[in-house]
Amino acid sequence: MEIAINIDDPAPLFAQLIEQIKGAVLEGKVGPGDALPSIRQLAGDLDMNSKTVAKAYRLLERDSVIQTRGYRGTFVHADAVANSTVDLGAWVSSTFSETIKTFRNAGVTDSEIRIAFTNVMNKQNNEGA
Amino acid sequence: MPETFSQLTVLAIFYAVFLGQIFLLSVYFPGKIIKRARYVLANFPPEDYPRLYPTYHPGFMAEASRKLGFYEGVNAAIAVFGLMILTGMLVKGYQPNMKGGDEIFVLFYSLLQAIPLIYVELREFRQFRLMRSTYAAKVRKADLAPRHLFDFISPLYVVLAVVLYGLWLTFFLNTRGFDDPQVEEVYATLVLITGMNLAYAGWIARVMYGKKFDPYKAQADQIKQIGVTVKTFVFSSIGISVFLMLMQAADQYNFEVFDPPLASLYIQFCMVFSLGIAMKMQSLDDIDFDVYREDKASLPKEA
Repeated sequence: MEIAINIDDPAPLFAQLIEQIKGAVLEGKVGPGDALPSIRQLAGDLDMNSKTVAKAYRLLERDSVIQTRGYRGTFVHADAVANSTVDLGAWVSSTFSETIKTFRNAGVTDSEIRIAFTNVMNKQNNEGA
Repeated sequence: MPETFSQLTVLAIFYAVFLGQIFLLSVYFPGKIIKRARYVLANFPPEDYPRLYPTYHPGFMAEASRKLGFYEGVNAAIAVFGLMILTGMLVKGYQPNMKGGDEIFVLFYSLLQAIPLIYVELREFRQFRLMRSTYAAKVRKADLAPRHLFDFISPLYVVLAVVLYGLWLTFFLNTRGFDDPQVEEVYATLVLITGMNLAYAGWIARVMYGKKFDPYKAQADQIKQIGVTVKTFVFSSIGISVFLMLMQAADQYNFEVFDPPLASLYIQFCMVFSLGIAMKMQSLDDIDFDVYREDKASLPKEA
C-alpha cells in the first residue's frame, strides 16, 4: 500500500499524512492490527523531517487510529475504521465558528477574542506544566 | 610445506587464482560497468531524463564518453600490469614463500585494481549528493508497510554470519590469545574485524531506514537496492570470517604457502558477492527510469 504526499499542496504535510493513513484504513488497504512503518522509515522514504511524521503519528494515536506497542512498533488500532471517520480538526473548527459568532453577536471585537483566546491558552498551558 | 603438495601444484593454483583476479577485477566487472553506463547514456539521454544528469552541460555526452574510455584504458593497463607481474614470476622462476607473507603483494595489486572502482563509487555518491541538492519532486511516495531485515535476506544467512564471527573470535583467541608476543596485532585485528561488522550493521540500518541516496529512485527499485546492500554486507561478513579462519588455520597447520591464493580468492569472493549481486539484481531493463524525466517524475503513476 503506497501513500503519496504533495509538497505543493496547501495542507500541511502532517495533515496530508494523517489523511492518507486514515484513507488507507477506510479503504481497507490496511486493517486493524497491521504493522505500520517506523517514523524513521516513513520520514526517510518521503524525504520529510522525522518530527513531521512523529507529529502525524502522535495525532493518529490520540484519535485511536493507530497504537504504539513499545519496541514492537506501530500498529493500526482495533477501532481504527470507526475512529478514522471522526475528524477532530473539523469539530474544533465548527465549535470555534459557533462560539465566535456568539461573541460577535454580543459585540465583542476580534481583537478582544484573540487576546482572550491567547490568555486562556497560556493559562491552561501553565496549569498543565 | 607438506609433502602432499608439490611446488608445481602450489604455483599452478596461485597462477590460476591470480589470473582469475586479474580478469574479474580489471576486465569483467569494469567491462560490465562501462556497458551499463553506455546503455544508460544511449537509451536515457539527458534531454529526456534531465534528473539523472545533475551536472549536465553542453558537451556532456562527449566528456562522458571520453571518461568512460579513460576508465576502460586504466583498467586495461592494470590488467596488463598484472599479466606482466605473472609473466615476470614465470620467467624468473618464482618460488613460493613457505612461511607465507607473499599475500601482501596480492593485496597491493588488489588495491591498485580497486582504485578505478573506488573512483566510480565516489563519483556516484557525488552524483547522488547533487541530485539531492536539486531534488524537486512534488509528489513523494512511501510504502505503508514496515521493513524488516528478514524481508531482504534469509535469517539463515544472518545467523550464519553471527555464528561464523563467533567461531572466528573463538578460534582466533585460542590460537593467538592475549599472551601472544605481538599482542598489539591481536587487539588491532579484534578491533578491526568487530568494527567492520558493526559498520556493516550500521550501514544496513542506514540504507533500510534512512533517506534514499538517490531521491528520485522509485520505491520498487529502492527495495531492490536495500536487498542488494543487505546481501552484500551479510555475505561479506560471512566471507571475512571464513577467510580469516582459513588464514589462521594455514598459519597453524603450516599451509602458509596458500596464503596468496586464499587472499586472492577472498577478494574475488567479495567482488562477486557485492558488485556481482548488485548487477544481477538491478537489471537496467527493470529499473524505472521515468522518475528521472522532468515532468513525469512528480506526477503520480496512473493505475
